[in-house]
Amino acid sequence: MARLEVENLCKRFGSVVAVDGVSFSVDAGEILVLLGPSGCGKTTVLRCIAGLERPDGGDIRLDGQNILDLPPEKRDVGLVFQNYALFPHLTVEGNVSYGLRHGRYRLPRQARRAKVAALLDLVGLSGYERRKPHELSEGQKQRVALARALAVEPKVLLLDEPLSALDAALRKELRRELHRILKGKGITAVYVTHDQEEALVLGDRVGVMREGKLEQVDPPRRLYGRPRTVFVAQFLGRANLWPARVRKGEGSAVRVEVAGTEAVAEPLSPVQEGDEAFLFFRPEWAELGEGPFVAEVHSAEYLGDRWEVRGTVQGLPVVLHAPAPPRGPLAFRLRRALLLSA
Amino acid sequence: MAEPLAKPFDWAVKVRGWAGLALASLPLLFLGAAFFFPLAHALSLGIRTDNRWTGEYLRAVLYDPYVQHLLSFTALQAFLSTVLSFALGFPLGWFLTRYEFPGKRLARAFTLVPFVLPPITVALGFYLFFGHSGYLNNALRGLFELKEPPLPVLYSLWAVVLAHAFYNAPVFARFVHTAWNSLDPTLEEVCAALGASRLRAFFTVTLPLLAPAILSAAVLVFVLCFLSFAIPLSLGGARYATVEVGVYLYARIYLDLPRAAALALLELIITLALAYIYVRAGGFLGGQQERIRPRKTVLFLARPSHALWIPWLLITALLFLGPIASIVADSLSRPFAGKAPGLAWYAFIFSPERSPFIGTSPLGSILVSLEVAGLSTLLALLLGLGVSGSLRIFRSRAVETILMTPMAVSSVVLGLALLLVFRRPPFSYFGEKYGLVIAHGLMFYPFVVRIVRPIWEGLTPSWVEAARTLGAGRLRAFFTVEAPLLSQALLVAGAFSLTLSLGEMTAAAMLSQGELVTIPLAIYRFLSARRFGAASAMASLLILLTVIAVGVWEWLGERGFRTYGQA
Amino acid sequence: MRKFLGVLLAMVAVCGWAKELVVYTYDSFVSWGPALAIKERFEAMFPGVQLVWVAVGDSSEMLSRLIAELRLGETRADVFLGVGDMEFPRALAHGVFQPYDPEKIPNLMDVPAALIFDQTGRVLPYDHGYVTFVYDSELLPGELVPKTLDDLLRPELKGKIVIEDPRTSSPGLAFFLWTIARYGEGWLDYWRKLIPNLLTITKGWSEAYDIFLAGEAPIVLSYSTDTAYSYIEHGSLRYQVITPNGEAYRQIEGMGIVSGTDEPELAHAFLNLVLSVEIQELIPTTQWMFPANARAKLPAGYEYAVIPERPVFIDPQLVQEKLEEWLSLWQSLLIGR
Repeated sequence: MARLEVENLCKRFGSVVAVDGVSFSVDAGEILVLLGPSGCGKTTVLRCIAGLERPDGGDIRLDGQNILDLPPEKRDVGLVFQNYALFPHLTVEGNVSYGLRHGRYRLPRQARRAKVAALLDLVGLSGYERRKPHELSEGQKQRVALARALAVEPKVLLLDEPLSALDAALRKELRRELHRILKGKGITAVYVTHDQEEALVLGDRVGVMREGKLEQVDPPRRLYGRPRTVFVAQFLGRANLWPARVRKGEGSAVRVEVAGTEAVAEPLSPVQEGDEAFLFFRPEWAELGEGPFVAEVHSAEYLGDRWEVRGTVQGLPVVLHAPAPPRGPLAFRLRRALLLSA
Repeated sequence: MAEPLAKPFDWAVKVRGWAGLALASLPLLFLGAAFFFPLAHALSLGIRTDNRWTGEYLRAVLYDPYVQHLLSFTALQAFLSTVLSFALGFPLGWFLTRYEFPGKRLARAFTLVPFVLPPITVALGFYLFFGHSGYLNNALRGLFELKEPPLPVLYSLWAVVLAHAFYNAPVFARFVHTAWNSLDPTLEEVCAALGASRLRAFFTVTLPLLAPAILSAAVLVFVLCFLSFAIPLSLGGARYATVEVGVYLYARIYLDLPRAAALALLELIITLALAYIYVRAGGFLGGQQERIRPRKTVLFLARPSHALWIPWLLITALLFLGPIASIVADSLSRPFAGKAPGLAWYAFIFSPERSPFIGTSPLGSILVSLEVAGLSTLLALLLGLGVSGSLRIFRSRAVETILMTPMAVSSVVLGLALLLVFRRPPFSYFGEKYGLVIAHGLMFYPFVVRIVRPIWEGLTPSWVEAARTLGAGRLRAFFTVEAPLLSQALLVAGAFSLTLSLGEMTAAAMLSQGELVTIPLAIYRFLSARRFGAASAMASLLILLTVIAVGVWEWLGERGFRTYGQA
Repeated sequence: MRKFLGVLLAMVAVCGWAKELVVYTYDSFVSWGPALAIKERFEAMFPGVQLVWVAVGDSSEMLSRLIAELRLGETRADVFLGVGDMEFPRALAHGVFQPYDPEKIPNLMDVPAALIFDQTGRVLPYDHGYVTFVYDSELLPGELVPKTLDDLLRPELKGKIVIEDPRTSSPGLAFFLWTIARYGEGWLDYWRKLIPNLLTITKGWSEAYDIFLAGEAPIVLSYSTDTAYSYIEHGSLRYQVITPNGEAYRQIEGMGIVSGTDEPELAHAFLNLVLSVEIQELIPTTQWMFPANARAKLPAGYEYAVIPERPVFIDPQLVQEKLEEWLSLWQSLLIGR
């Protein structure tokens, strides 16, 4: 188990800046999820940590030791790919034991056998030793890829969208299993995905990336409840963002002018009177019944435990949760709201 | 819609099935009539006498100690040539895969030039460059003030092996380059992540995965070297004669056709057995395969360690560019009828005036070559596509192997068989020019099959299925979906067949009645008429045409990849 | 449409009724040789008749092609020109030629009887020459110039001699027979010692001479007219002819009428034309051989062309009987068995 630190990482491809000053750290045994839309640079960060790309600037440390100048095979970093990348000419056993035969920490044949058996048992593939990759289902391939990466007991395990090629049901099942295995072994891991549900379920902390920059790193609940930027607020869950102007700002509650009326919100950074900002609230932070806001309802979708209602307040789009289908305009007040700088 | 969904009559389905089968067997029937029947007829001379079967000639040939020597020597030189081609071609393929450098596309186009050059041109280039008083030895002699030539490679087994490597190392390079490019680069990254060093990853993952391509290339190269005829004779001499020389001696000198046929049959059995391995190993010929993620390339010399490549690059350039450059240099430096050298020989070969040395005008010879090459390419593409289609229905490795025969048969016997067909009706009506077009089509369609078939087999069937659910008939689905997706492979195959036709001489010499003079025939005649300048200029033109054809295909190929690679 | 039909008919007429005489020969007879002059003269003599030369390959390639075509019964050839006195028994054995009528070839009177090698009256000579060695006086030191065939075995000449393959080339065969004529039973021994001195054994004369001219080797097996050639063409005496022990192997080239020709009259007229003084006088400077017609004059510069004191040759009939056996022994020697 080890602690990973990434500091001010930069990587350019030609004129495209893929990673732009990214810093974070992962504690021993912690799972950090990097979340972001495709092309945001999250995979590049992973490849830099693995040593497959050479960063243009910054530092990567493992247990305080700089690993930037080490080639990938000397970094003690495991990697699981989106397309599994199983060696097509080797059996399951050959794949899983590859690192133990050809890697840095080689084991004698007997020990290797035992270890492969234990790993296959762990991922639920006992008895598949002699199969070739093309004889496996997608889910089985993914398990083999995981077992192969775990075999060498890397200090950090990097996973690059490992579940994205699977169908929804299998994805959920494997997600749980992955969590069990990673936590059971106490592995330090960096997990890259574009699936927010996966991020919230798996991550001890989640970092949201956008256009090469890391916008926010926080535990899932905090990330959801206290997004620091408009992008993070919108990327995770449902978000209502209305332009607002600060009337009177002090402490953890400021008055803002919004949607033709006034409201109280908690600013995430110091603000001054007259500042332009966004009032942000989740649908569940709104209390229906009566209040300063009245929403014109445009549509309502039944989600089983609630109705998701879309409409406008003074021309501003809004999403609300309602226990029953609305029959007419909905009045509501905000139990909680945040003020995000524009 | 209101119409009930009646089940079609069974016989209708059956008739359509038979029609499909008939359509699929059409190209096979044509091949049978135009190629396999006459070939079998020519070869049967070796096992038939007075309308009965006999093993007499086969036995006579097999017990001849000279033939035994020829067989073992041929196998030895083919083996050595394959090893050297691999040793030179593999790093070249590696280099092309790994590094980016200015002019890479041109370099890649150049890798096909040697393969399609006629042997006389290569022999000429080798004399000029490696000869005891060639450019290389003279330069070294001047540099070190030596009396004797320091590199006496010509007229030995090594000259033969070196020339075969000149021909075939680029084949290896292309096979390796293509296979490597279609290898998922993440596999090598996994090795690194699992702690395997680059060298170990290479030997445990990359090399095993490249093995089918290497085996394909090795078998192909072995077969081509096994059948080699002109190169061993002209660069080695009579002491280094191959089996093909034996066939030639029997057929042309001793006029003993039965023994010639028996020996050729023996030769064909060996080469077809090898061709079967080639087909089994996938037998592709360097078409672009579907790629998962483009492989990362490094700018050459971006790191100081790349300088280690330089000595190897120099040797490679010396071997490959030396003979080619010598031909071009020779064409520019030979004095022309007292005039200053320069472009005079080019003015000569582009003149429409009849030259007595070749029996036609040089320009006419160039034009007729282009015409034959163009038409025969069309025919080879049609045949190759037809055969590939037929093979989708008659799935059999044995049939596929037999269909490779034009690549694996003795050129002397091939010439004889062609003579048998094209001197008789109906083919005699085509005259020498169109006869040659048909002959080239028959000779080069296997290359088209080898390039097109793996790609066709690799197409996702769901595309065609999608087209058919959208209402397109099978044929329409082919032309609107498969054909565009295959267009890149067809282009590659077309350029390949075009250049092969431009350089081919056996059939051209056999079918020519004197009036048809293709570029290689013109080179040959200029050489025997001692018009070396004209021969070099013609050969340079042939090289240029090849580079252009291959260059265009590389360029179109890359565009094609961008268009369809994402699909 | 009518016009088109007319043209079509005219074409058919030309193709169908225009007479042609097809002559197979080796390529250098056309590229260097007097073929064009013969064609012009012939077509002037017979208006409406076309003389077609077919020359794709050397003489043995053309002869084997003709034999293959005769087997199929599909040949265009009426005359074959370029069969050597050593190979002709093989051609006769395949029935390639039909007898000629000497009455129809008056120019035959001027051909010395010694040159008429075919006693069956099928093949007649049109030129003759002498196969021997030629050296490059700028590359070979005077003391190494061989005076006898034995001198070719000197160790100083290792890798300095180029010869042609007796199986594929007529000068090659001439030298081969020469060694048998000179050494009798000992010819194998001679070759055993000669082989290390050979730079290479080429398929044909052309390849050997290319190598020699390129300066790759100072001695080549060629013809006794080579000095005359380089003198007349380039004013150079650099390449000198050797006649070891005053010997050189005599080679006669012949021509004949192809069996079953449709044009026997034209074929005879052709043979007569080739033997005419006018055409025969072209032979020395195009074929670089001596004309068969004794009345033909030799050009200036031919004083450098050597006629050996003692021309060597073996009876073609004996050659026909023994050649395969001899060559097979030679092959075994070549591969070191």
